[in-house]
Amino acid sequence: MSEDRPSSACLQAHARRYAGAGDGPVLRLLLILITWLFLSIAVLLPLCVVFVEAFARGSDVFLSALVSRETLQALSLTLTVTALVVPANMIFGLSAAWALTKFEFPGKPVLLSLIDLPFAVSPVIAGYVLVLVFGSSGWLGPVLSELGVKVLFSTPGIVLATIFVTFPMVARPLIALMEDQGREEEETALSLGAGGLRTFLTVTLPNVRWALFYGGLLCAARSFGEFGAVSVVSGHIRGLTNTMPLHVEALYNDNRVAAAFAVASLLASFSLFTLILKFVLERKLPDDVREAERVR
Amino acid sequence: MKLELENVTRRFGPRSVVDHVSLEIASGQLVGILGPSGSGKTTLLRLIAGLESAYEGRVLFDGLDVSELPLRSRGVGLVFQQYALFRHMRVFENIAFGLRARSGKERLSGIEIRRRVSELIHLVQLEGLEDRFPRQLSGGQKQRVALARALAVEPRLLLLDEPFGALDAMVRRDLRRWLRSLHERTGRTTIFVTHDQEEALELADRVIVMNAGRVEQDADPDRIYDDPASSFVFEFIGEASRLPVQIRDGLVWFRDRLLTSPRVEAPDGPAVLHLRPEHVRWTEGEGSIDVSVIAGRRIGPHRRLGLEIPGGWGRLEMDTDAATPMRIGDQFRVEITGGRVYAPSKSRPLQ
Repeated sequence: MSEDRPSSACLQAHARRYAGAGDGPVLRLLLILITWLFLSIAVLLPLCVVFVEAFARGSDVFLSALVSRETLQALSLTLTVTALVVPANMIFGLSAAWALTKFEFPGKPVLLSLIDLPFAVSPVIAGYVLVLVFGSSGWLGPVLSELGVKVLFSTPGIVLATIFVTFPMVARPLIALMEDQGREEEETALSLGAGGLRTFLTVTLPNVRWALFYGGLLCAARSFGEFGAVSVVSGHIRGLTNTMPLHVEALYNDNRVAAAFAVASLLASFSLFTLILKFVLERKLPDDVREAERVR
Repeated sequence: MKLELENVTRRFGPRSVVDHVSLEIASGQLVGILGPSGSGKTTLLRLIAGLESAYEGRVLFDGLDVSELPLRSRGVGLVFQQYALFRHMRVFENIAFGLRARSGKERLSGIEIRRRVSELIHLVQLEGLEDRFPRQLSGGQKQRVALARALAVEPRLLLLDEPFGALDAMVRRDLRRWLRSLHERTGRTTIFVTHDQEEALELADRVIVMNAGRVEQDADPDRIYDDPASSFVFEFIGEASRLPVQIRDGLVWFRDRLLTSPRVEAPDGPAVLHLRPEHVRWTEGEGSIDVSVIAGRRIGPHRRLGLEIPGGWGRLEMDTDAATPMRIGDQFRVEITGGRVYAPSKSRPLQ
């Protein structure tokens, strides 16, 4: 949860208030140092390496790696998958959160824990589950292949795998927020004569819109970067079913390190952009997002 | 609008939260439903609103069965304890919500909506706050926005759930008076739920005391205070102490003292005498009880003394003039000038 940022005028009072929380100044400094050190080694350094390595062989290599046919295909596949996964999960997340927080029904706790399942299960396992279901000897595979539908080693499989991995990302913050907001606003709207659709559009949706957008953003970031589950179902067909992360791996395995890092830097840039967007969102809409953050 | 409940019952699992409640509320009344938490008072209110459906029984508005009518068609105004203002809408839009939700012939023009909302803002004394968001309002202001919003659609019935529960004492007192005068001006049938007996007695024309899903007593505030229908109501409304007594030939005996004042409904045998502080008086005379002071606290103009009857016979409370000097350990005698011994069927002590 984000605290109000103190203005310089009240910094002293602020510091005094927090120093009083039971920790001496030495311990405080130590903890801050450890955090910085850890973040530098684990996050900042690798991130810098990506960009340094990407330009290690000059900008020509960097650019040609980016505009190669295979990279453009991977980029377009990744964008397609993200464009399908994010709206799907926003709709799913919203309806799941709506059902779980506004109604009472048997089996609710089970459903609630099921939503968290993708966070607990390794993405690779999720991928293999899809192979078991849609593979040529799987449950649905033979039926679907007779109908001419190809799920594995093509876009539908990649989309399904990504949906599985990302679906808690919209649902979870929404459930927490809507749980916190309760049902009384909807009940009031109904009592004032509004219909279900009007209540949803004018009361429920505006109340959760930033949390929904926020969840969508996290979902997009993960869709772009997902490796494990997608790796299992994509089949690694170059120029056809490789997403960006898979393409990075392929290039790396071919010993085209600079090209691999060039593509990786594109992915990293996207992540940084997401981070900035998240930050701007939090600054611009302090109340709503803080509320969403508080209950997460 | 006249409201009738016929044998309304609501169960959650095996437990009856509202248990065969029958009521009739005349048009224009201001009724308080009073009870401790878990007594079913809020559920009863939600049943009337249509937020819950009854397991059994009927709800009638002006003689018409509305039991199957959904919330949106019942025409009730709702105000919740936490106000439930639409948080992303300004005060004006909050109040206009119900007017904008109308369809077909009842639809109002923008100018008309503006006029109606202004009237309501004037009614609830919120001029100048039209463009505020709910988070920029104080508790009392939010409460009034919630009321204006509910009144905008001219509900047949106004239902308030713990309307002052989230406010501090001063604001609560002011708003109570204001709501009372608002009711006198609009004359709309209003039902509110509260756990605060003082609030119920001060605000309502009629108080319905609930306990364990049932109506314990339904009367005007004077009756409720002066003539509680059961030991539960006696103890829930106002201060009460209890004394173990014996009933012999319809007379109340405390040890070897005959108490002539209490009202007796119990048969012969051991019983419990319920007393209020005003039923205990300082005396020198016959039939009196020895007591010693064990506590004293200031209540408004009085001092309320905690008294102990030596020998572990029980404790009493009485009010004295605050100017009377009194110390812990002081001993004197008191007489009993009132109180009540309930029949066993009406003895349901407060949990």
